Amino acid sequence: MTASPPSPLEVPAPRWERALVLLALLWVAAGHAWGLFLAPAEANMGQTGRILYLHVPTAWTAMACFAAAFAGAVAGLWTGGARWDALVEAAIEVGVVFAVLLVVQGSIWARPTWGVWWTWDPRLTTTAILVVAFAGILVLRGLLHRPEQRRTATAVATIAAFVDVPVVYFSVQWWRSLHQPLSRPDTVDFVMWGPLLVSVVGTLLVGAALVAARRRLALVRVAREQAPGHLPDRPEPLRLEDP
Amino acid sequence: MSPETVPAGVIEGGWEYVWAAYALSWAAVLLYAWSLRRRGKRVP
Repeated sequence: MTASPPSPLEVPAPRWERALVLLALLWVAAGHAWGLFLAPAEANMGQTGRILYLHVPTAWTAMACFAAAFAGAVAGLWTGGARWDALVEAAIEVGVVFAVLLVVQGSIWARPTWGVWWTWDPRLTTTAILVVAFAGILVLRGLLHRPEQRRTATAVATIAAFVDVPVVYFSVQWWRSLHQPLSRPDTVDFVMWGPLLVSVVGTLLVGAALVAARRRLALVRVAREQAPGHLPDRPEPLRLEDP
Repeated sequence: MSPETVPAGVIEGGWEYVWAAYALSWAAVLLYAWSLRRRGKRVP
């Protein structure tokens, strides 16, 4: 008798995951409400500075997702465990969602502040490269149908793409940039830290909940691929035998 | 541009940009969460 791969009915969201979703939504709503209605307007940016409470947490969440993907890729290559691939797949997809939002939010903020929707500033350019690199990995995964080949290629590409994460972070220090400096106690006023930290924690929780949910879907695929008699989703291309 | 030549002052208005950024982000995250739920139901 062989075990059949789990169906969605057998892998419902566990109780902790539902609790995490609720906690994340409440936390991020509290942080955003604080930033929108209670925090003072920024000294130079005025009301547009309130986008900070959305933009910075989104950046941290995207980077945390890519860090999780990097850790999963290293662990997957090290141990050869297929389940790490589920974490990598989930973290990259959620990371790309947050990274795209990061670029869009930055663009909306840049229009009234810099007068342009986009400029080839080092921070913006390196972030755009990050989005393209990780989105490219998702495309690559779609093209590879042999599980082992897909796992290895994804892990190697993830490690390579992750090199851009510290470059994005330090780009405002390494090059002349229009972008705000790193958000630290000496660059952000004390009264802005409260809503900023609450929003950061809330958004990180939202990211964690999304990665957990996406990983559950990926684990179903892993289980299906490991089931006896599994065939790739698409047939391998026909090859002529050597004469 | 040297610090002396950076124009001083506060950006007036801008709430429409703030609302656009927040609304778009919340909508995108909720839409993605909903898509995960849909994909979960379609898994064979």
